[in-house]
Amino acid sequence: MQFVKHVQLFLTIYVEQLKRKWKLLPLLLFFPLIVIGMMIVLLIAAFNPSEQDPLVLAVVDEDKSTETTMITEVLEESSQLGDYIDVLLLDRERAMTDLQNNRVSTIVSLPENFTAHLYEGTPVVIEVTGNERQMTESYIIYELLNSVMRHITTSQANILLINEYAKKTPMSDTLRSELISEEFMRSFLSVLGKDKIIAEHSVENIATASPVTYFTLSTFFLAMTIWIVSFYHFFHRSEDRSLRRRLRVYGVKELEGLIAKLLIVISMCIVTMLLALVALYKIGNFSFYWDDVYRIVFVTFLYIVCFTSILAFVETILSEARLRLLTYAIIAILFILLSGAVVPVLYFPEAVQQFLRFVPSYEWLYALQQILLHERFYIDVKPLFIITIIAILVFISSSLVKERRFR
Amino acid sequence: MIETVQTRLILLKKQPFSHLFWALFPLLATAFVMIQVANVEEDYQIPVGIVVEDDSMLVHELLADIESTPHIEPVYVQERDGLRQVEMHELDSLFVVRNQYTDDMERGKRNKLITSYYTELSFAYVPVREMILSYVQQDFTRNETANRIEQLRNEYRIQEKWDKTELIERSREIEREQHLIDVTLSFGSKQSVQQEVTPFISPLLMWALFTFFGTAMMFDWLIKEKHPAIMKRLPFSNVLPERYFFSNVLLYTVVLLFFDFVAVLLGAIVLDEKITFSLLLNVFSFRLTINSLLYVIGRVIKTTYVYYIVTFIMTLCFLLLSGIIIPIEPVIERFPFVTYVHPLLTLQTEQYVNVLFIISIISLFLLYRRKKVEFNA
Repeated sequence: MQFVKHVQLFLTIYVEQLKRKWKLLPLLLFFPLIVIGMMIVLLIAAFNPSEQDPLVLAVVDEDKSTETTMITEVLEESSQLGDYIDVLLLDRERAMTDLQNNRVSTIVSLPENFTAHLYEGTPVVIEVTGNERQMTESYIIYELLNSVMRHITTSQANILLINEYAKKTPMSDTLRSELISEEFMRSFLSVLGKDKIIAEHSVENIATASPVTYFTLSTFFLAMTIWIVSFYHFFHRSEDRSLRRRLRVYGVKELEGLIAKLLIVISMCIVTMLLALVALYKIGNFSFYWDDVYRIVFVTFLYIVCFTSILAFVETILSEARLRLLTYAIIAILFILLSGAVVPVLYFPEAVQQFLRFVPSYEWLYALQQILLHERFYIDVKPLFIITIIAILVFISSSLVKERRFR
Repeated sequence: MIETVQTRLILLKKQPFSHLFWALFPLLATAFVMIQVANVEEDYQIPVGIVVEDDSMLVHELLADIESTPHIEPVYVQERDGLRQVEMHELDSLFVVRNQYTDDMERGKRNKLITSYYTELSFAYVPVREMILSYVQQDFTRNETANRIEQLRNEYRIQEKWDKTELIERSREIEREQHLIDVTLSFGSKQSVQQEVTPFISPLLMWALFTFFGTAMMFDWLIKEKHPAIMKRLPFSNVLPERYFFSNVLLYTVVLLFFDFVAVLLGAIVLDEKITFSLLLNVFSFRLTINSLLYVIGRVIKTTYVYYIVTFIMTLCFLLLSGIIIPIEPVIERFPFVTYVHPLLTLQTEQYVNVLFIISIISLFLLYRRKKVEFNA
């Protein structure tokens, strides 16, 4: 009875606090949405290459043999290297001044006797000069050239092989060099047309593959996670030591205050969750059934209880405000990273994947995805349920142990 | 100044660990994160579905090549099952080796030897496709060459038999023996850069972020010592409050600069990077910027609760706009002034002066004047 009375007392204190600081609430509600909105804007800006200017690649041909002339012309006219790369054929001086004026991203120069050396099997070096102001672009072109060169190395080995066997035939030298030059061009074109090997199909599954739906759900998850932490921190009360001592004299336990706090935080989270679900229903193109709502509310409730109990546990064992806040942040970041909301789980290392079943955020998001994206009727809530029970027990017992030690 | 040092030392004796912790926090946290990132980069495995319809030597060689690629874990599935798994996003993408693979290859046909399936969320698809393409292309050209030589033999009616597998083996041999083409990369005046993989996360940025956060947490004394009980005592020691705070911030700045230089030197030694004078100067400027910024914030805000929230949100914004999580280059390209406002980017791009520093100095000046008037009155 005493216990309930104390909890009630703390509840009234927290409701008072809520009334006093209610102006902060809209800020708390919109804060995660603003952060996520900012992230989305940045992501769109980062991964929208159509708005980027194409990279300009200058080719300096110092060899000027028939083969190199042909190759550079093919490159200049067509966009064989991809849509975002423009190839210009320039002489060395012009290319250098353009590089200095930032009009060219990278210069590739084919050295003198390039073709001749290739036929003979003498090692050749292709110089790539990057632009210091366009580091990333220079690296992209360098990597691209490296992959083209790997193909050419194979082609060259083949050409040398043909040369070797052609010498065994009674073929004349001029005929042979013609044959080689022809082979060279053929392998070059073959490298450029290598994409024909693969027939590509983009798989569209309206529910799972559409990034919009996937990320809408992720947004709900992220917002909910941030809300739980910020609501919890919203009800932070600084009790100095003398006040604590006085409370203890009256037989008030720390646990009672924490349970009152959990009750109010959880009920606020539930209200927010319901609002968010309505928003999700209106905005996202999910098909909800009444049964689904019941299940979603249940798993989300488990997640909220589990998360807040963990936070209460942190509050019990850490007394320093800054460390507490840091730990809250670390837990929230870990929950977000490990849930698979930002990066799908399959890209995680094997070692991490093994203990994902013990991460409440992963379990929760997985359950949500099963219900909303794959339209499953049965979901396994057992793991999340067990984690929640463990979290509550750990929190309560830690609080009791702490109380005993201070007595 | 000597009095400031003395009083601080007395205070620090009371709580040595808290200060030491926040001073070392940037270095320790950066080291921890970098080690974790390195571990993750080392042993992540991306499951890629492979359907094998054709069973021949050629296909087995291709599969062996794919299996030997680091970070790719081939999962052998049936086409229907694999497709479902790609849809459910349990596999990154699916590659089908068609049943006429060997026949087409030997006949010199290479169109649609392989079919691939991917979704819009297949992050590893492009590199995996390029990798498989390069192996198929290699096999294909070798086969083609062997066919070509066979053609030559027929044209010139040579009696000697040239075995095809031998030809292909010989081509591989030549390729292995001779390292024929090299591509070098250089940047204008600088010497050529080795084929070095740029780390996923810049350690300098990471360190700067943790430094900002650690310093913000350490600077909560600005608010705690604003307590009336303390402020009331100051007039007796004949020290103006602003002067008290200023000299202490100065003291903290000097000590923290020492920690900064140690951290940068250690980082440079561990990562085998060169320490340039401009980097050190930028670290110096970064420290001045964040300290003056936090000084202003600490003077304006009244309670530690609000102070922690504000500095937390600032850290979060700095993190999001730093390019650690989301690439920031497009934003910089469009709004180049960002690098002058964001302290982390100023440090990374070595721009020396940050706008926030100037703003903080000006507002400190205004604050000081106002407080002085109040004090005298």
